[in-house]
Amino acid sequence: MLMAKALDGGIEFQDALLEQRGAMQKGRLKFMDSGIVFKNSKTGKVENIGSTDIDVVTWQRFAGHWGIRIFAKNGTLHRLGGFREADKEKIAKVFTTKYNNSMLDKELCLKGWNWGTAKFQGSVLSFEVAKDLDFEVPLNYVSQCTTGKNEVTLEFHQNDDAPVSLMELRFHIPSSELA
Amino acid sequence: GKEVEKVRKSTASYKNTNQWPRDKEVEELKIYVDPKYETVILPIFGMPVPFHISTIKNISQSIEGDYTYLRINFFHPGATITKEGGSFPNPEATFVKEVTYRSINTKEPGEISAPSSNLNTAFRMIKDVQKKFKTREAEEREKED
Repeated sequence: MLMAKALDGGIEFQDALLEQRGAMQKGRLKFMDSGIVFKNSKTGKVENIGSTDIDVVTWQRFAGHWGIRIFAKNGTLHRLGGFREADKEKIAKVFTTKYNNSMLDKELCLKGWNWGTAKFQGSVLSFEVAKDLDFEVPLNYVSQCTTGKNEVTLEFHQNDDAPVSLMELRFHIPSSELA
Repeated sequence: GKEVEKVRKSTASYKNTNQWPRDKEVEELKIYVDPKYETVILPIFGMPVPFHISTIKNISQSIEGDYTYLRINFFHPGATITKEGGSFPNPEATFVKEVTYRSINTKEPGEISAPSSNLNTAFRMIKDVQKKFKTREAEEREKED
């Protein structure tokens, strides 16, 4: 599925995926000395993550494939996918040699519970269940946020590229948290 | 004697990734209902997220204009106590209370079915799995009594 080739000692993926508002966009991914570059193959739009902007990088499962989660120093989240398990070592090596960063493993929660802890870091809301990551909401996807008694409602910008589009997510917040 | 407070069981969906379904719907970030593990997998911004059927209170579907909407309500503390209710093992947690998905009703050229057919299938299957789960739970309660 993916083509990886040497590129100035780095690697390039012809068929990578970038998560954007609930849809995985296809594109070409390059790990350069200056940073990570993703070029959307449909729109031609280029996304850049500068080598010095990378804060935390983790390797995790996505839908049917493996991916990397990059949390940038400016608080934004980038999720790149479409990798095979065998790509892990290569990608980890790129992060060590080019960006002086070590890629960590992130476990996803399989419990199926709807209760957990909502954590805010930068512009990301991470919902953790039993200490594992359950899902994440990049806050720039939120079009409106309203609060009621013991609840917070997030409404999202709609994306017709996503097969099914998440419109609204409502949380129950315990009273002690609101106090 | 003292009344024993009934605590809701925390049933888990999957024990490990080997049990995780490899179906096309999961990979395509559509809603997938897994009858074997009684779990609904919802796509949340790139990640397929499991929700065990026991966490789902009720669901509703509506069609408005070009779109189909599917709303899923989850059990959470503070709601009306239902017959099968009881208290929650961890009322101090944050709960996902409700999610709403939207999908278009019209087919793009080359598509076999409209994107909204996924929501229709999910609606039907969630109802089905929920019914079977409730029946089994009721039978188990009877045995305990």
